[in-house]
Amino acid sequence: MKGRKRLDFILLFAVLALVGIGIVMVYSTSAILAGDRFGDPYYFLKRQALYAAVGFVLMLVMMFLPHETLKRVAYPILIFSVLLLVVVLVPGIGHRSGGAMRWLKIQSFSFQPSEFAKLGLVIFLAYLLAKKEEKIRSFSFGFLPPVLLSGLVIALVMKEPDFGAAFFLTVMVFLLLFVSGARVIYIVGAFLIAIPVAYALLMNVGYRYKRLMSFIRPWEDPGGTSFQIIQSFLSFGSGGLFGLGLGEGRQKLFFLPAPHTDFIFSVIGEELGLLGAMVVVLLFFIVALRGIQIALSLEDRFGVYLALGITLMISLQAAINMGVVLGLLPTKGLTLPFVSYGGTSLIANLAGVGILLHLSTHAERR
Amino acid sequence: MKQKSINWFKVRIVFLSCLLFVCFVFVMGRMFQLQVLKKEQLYKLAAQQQHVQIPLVPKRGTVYDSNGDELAASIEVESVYADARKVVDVEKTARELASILQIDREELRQKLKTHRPFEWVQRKVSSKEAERIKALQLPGVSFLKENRRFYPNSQLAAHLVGFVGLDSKGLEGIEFQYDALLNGESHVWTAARDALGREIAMGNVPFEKEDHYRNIVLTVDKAVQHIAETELDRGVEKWGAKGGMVIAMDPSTGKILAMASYPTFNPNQFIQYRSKSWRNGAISDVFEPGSLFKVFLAAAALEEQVVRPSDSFYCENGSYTVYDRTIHDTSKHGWLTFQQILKFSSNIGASKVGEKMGRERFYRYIAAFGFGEKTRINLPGEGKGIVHHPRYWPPVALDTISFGQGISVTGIQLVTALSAIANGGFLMRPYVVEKTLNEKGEVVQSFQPETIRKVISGATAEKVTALLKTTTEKGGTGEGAVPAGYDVAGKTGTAQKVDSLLGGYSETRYTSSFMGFAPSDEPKLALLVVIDEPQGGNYGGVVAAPIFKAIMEKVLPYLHVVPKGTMIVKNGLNSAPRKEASEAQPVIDGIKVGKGAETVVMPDLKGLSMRNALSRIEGRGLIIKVSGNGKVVEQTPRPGTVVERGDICFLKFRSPS
Repeated sequence: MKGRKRLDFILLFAVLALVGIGIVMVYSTSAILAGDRFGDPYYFLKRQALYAAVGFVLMLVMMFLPHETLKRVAYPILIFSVLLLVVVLVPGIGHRSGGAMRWLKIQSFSFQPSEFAKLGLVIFLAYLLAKKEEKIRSFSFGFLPPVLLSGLVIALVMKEPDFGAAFFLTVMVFLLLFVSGARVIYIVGAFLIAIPVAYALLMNVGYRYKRLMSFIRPWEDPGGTSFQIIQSFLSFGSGGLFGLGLGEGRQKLFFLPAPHTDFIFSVIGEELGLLGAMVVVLLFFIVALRGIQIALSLEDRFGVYLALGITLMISLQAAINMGVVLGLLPTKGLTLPFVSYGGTSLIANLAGVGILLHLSTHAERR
Repeated sequence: MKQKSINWFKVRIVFLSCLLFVCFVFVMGRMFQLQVLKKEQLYKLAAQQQHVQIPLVPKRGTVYDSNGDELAASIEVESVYADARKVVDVEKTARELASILQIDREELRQKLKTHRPFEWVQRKVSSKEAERIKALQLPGVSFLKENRRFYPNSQLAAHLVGFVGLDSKGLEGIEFQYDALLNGESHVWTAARDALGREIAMGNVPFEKEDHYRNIVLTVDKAVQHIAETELDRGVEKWGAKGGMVIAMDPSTGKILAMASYPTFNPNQFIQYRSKSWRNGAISDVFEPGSLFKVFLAAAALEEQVVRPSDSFYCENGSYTVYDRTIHDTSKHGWLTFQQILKFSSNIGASKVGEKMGRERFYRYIAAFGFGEKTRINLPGEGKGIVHHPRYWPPVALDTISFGQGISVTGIQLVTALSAIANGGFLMRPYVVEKTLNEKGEVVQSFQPETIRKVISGATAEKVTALLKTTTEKGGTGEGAVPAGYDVAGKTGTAQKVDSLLGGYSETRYTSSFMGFAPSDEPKLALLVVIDEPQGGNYGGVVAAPIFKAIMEKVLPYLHVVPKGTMIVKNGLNSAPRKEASEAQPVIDGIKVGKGAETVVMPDLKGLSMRNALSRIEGRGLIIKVSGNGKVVEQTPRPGTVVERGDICFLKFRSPS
């Protein structure tokens, strides 16, 4: 029996609230930076608003697009994602910033293929895992293909390098594999293999090692490598229970690295206090809860994986970002979904929410 | 089968949700830890890095003389600092600044390379230097306003006022004694800054706060001080002396009107002088008073009625052996009355009076006059002198102390004790600070005369004064101390200095002194002059008395003390006679006074006869005082000065010889 359900408004409102908070906080954190760099304090605010608008349009489109359509385009999306990830690595086309080739520049706008690839990989994995069904328990037919294909995407992301995104994708892939019923022994085995690889990567690149050390012993060298995480602590501490007030934060004045992107949650903690930050956490929690409920309410495996993947894409990344800025995890270049400044990420996430919302209306009743 | 597998699938999904939930719980727990439990600690750290704190030299209160003239003032100057992060060209900046400010270029280069947002380049630069640096417009080089101490009168009252170090800390004198009051609260320039070290305006703007400093008004009069210093300098130079001091006191209140020591220094460049010259000898140098001390012997003896002025003593023809010592007089005397003993300053006579007094009694008076104790004048570095208890006096000490040997005193002790005699026996505490004012000039605290004790009766004080007057009369040792037209009660002192090498008294090194007060019947000024080691003359009457006279001569008229024989020409049908008029004598009434203008310009009266002179200025509402007869030789105010009704005008006449 198939029946139409009401649109999940709670999820929609939670996402709208997050996007709203994001736009406000992007302005608060970037006004001085933008005034300094572009001579226009509204530079980042205007763009973030524009991205949000584009994102909402895409969200609406996805809400009305039957998700079976996505099944058909799963391979093309994966191929397109891989293509983009390759193109961005080509010198002259990819835009280098801060030692990483992560962006494709189109006039003054930049596009981040890895953010698109996240959603692409979620759609593809949902398709692949749904198709495998019980065969997932076998190694060569079930386990290996998704791992290898995901591994290709992750390797390309790693090449940029974007260690944060690669780490997040790896965790997400294994979590989805776990849900699909893949043998735990394979998952653990893959992890064990990944450890020396990760170790080699860490030790080869100085800054990653330093970041890790600064995570382990942050107060040992507060002026040096631990600078970022210490600054984040100071933000949270300054904010206290009620915060310094919107726009009153001082840590964003070049003390905090990337206050409008990676460390925007620190500024929320400083300006809006524990209460404000708690609201943001709760909103993400609501998104996670609703997403999982939608997944659980679906009969169709593709829909379940899709809903789970998108939910993880949002809430797991949020949890990792918060864990990083709170010093619970080593520093990664991960943004806070909906809230941090960044066009590709915001648009891709909103598109994902569109799919989720579509699935909520399309829930099947047993 | 299918049912079961779906269940496992959902279980795994729920397990995944739980994992996510745990993540969120960790995040919230950590937030609580940082934002509630560790809040204070983190907040402090954040505040530290968000603010630059630079201690600045604050505005310091002004030191005024009793007429409100500035003796020490704070002037705003600029200090150069560098924000090393903003410096573009370290080499060029270092080179330019080093050449303008004449500082070490290498050191400056190191400072500019630190990348710190704040480094002093040079504090308190001259305005010329500041302008030159500003003209270069070097990026990263900025200025802060600080305060520098400035002493507009240079050497004047240098010992009294003292000076401050670079950090505006008082190091000597009033500057030291009242450092906390003058400085107020110390300033720290706090500016919010961003991580790039740029100051950002966030609420508190520096220098907006009140300074809370106090201004200090001294009892010292710049004019009197100037006279004292000039005459002291002249005297010291004339006699090729090692040093000297002058203290002028208002005997009835204990107010210090002037206090000068030699050698002196310029507090604006104190560092260029030897630290010895910073010493305020008038209160810190301890010396044997010599014959000056006979004054206090006389006061004690008369108060105790041991002697009468007319009692006679045999002065042993100039040589008197007591125990193992032989006491000498400068000129040989036979029988002298007590009065003559003082007049001729006989040591032998004084010894005999002392013997009659007895050591215990004499000591009681020495202590009562304040010797052996600090006078508690509010200045740093005061000496106590050396006064032993009679228990420890060697047998001959009673005799020698009677003429001021074997006892050490400070200048301030002497003038304070002398003032007690001038003041009817009341010993006053000397003081130099009249009042303190706040920034707006309102009086915060004003200091009143403080009586320490009554040492002798008023009647005794009068008797002593009468004795002291005889020493300045013809034939007395202090003859040379008397300015024309004034009565002076005083005493000379000539003390051999203790020879520290040979252990006895030096035959060549003397302390020559004179102290006294005038007018003797109503003392307005007590004055001490001490010249240390004069060459080619050593008697107090020869060396110190003329300096005393020169100072008195100028200061007394300045204090509106009218010379004897001055005639007061009363004026004013409309204006009541001023107080001064009633004091002076003789008064000639009835000189016609017309309706004059409110203000007039003083004409030049020199060379005119009394009649002509008076006709020129009468009818202007002036109080005219004249002395002498003949032609006008001196006039105050000077020609050209604007005077108004009620002003006093002195005319001095002398007949052409």
